[in-house]
Amino acid sequence: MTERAQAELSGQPCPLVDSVLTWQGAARRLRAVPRLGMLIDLRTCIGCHACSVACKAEFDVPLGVFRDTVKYVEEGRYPHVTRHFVPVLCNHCEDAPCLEACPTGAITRRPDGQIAIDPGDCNVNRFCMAACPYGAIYVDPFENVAQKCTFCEHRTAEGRAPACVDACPTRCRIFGDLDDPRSEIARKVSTNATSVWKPEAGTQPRVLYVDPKGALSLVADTGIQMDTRPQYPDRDGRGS
Amino acid sequence: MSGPLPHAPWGAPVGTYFALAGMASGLTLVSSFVPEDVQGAQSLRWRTAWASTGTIFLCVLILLVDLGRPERFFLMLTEFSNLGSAMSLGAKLLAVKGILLGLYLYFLHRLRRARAAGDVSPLEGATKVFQAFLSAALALTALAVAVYPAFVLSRTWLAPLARSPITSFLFVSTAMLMGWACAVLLSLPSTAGGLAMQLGRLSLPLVVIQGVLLLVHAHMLRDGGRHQERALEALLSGHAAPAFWALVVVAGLAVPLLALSLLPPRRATLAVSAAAVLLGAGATRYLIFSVR
Repeated sequence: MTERAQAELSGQPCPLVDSVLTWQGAARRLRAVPRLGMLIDLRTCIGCHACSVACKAEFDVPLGVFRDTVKYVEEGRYPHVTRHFVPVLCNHCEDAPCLEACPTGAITRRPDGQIAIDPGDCNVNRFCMAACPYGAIYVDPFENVAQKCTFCEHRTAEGRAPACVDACPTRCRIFGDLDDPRSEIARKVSTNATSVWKPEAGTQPRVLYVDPKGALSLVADTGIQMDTRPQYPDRDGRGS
Repeated sequence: MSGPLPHAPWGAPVGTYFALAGMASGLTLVSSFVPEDVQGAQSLRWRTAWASTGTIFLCVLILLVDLGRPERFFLMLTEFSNLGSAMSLGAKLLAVKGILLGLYLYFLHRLRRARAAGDVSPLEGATKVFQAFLSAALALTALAVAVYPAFVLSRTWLAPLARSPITSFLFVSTAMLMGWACAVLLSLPSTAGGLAMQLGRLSLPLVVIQGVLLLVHAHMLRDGGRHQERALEALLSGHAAPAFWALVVVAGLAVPLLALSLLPPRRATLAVSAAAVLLGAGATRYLIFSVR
């Protein structure tokens, strides 16, 4: 039996096998890089906005624009009314329309999958804003560049969770490596039915939701920068 | 306003740019179809090349003014890491077209000087090959500039009316119509009406094709999804209906069809039809961009 075959059978890393010329080596190398994502449990979100405030404080986000916010959506007619709280942020999509749209190369994907905007290369052509179906990108009125949620890459680089995750009092947000079966997020994804915001956009978001009441369908027509006062849509998404 | 942002990130300047890009490309395309031996063809090519250059210059000016950081406009031309971006490709196409037009104008200028000096011998050898290559390159680039706005808009939530397989054909058709209209208006003052009348005969098939494309486009949008249906409703009977019916249908289709088929072929008829077509085709592009 060759050394390569022995290494493959034993699952142990081997310099010969871990060469970039072999598919198996490349796959193993890829798995060493986390695929960061977020899971938001809408059963336990209480709409306190601690996440949005933490995000605003972390990045000094100007008034009127948002990297992260919570949608309040009311459903039903008196006396049978329900209010849903839906935290929304950049989805760091696998098939990100903003990444494809940017003509200057300012928007890039980090090795761990986070989509980031390099302010130095942004000329504010706003194609990314027109392409993003979630309204995740805004133009900072003071810096005059496009900005959005970065999954707090300065915190995740140090092994810490994003500010919104740390701030949540009910721990409805879980952040981690989607590809690590031992991570809390992977375990929760495997044991709960999850959905994504605007699946018809086909962007394959990395922000997943536990949404047993179907609240995401009630925010299908809105965006992150849209007014966060309570909305009263009916189930087919038309606002009132 | 239906969309994920409270205000559309692109406004009237970008809509105007998309309409003018059609005119710039249409001018080149139409002049490339006029045979060499037709009287007035050289003069038409000279005028349309200058008009196309001027329009492209205007397009670039609009883009610069619209950018939040115009000093970084060059990044759209020098950055090649994202050729998948339709806007990146479009900026480079505009630059290439501008360079080709510059070369073409210089070539035409040398040709006109030679003709004026009495040299009427036909082009041959390397000169002939160069002219053929330049004309073909210009026509291909013009076609790409005519079509690329459809690819830009189809990748946004801004323009639900651009999300149909017919959109690219509609953008080529509107570019050809705008080019035809401008070519007629540019050739009317100079000739005894010969070239303009010949161009006039081109218009009826173009207008009919435009009408058919609009019908097929509307039919496909009906089955496209709720955003497309909503935008189509706004266009046909909502806030955009007056502009659509008055400009796209009456001015862009009815006036030229009736005038060119029922009235005697006169300069005035041609001029009015051309102006109406220019308005209608430009409005078609603008409404596809703006109605949601």
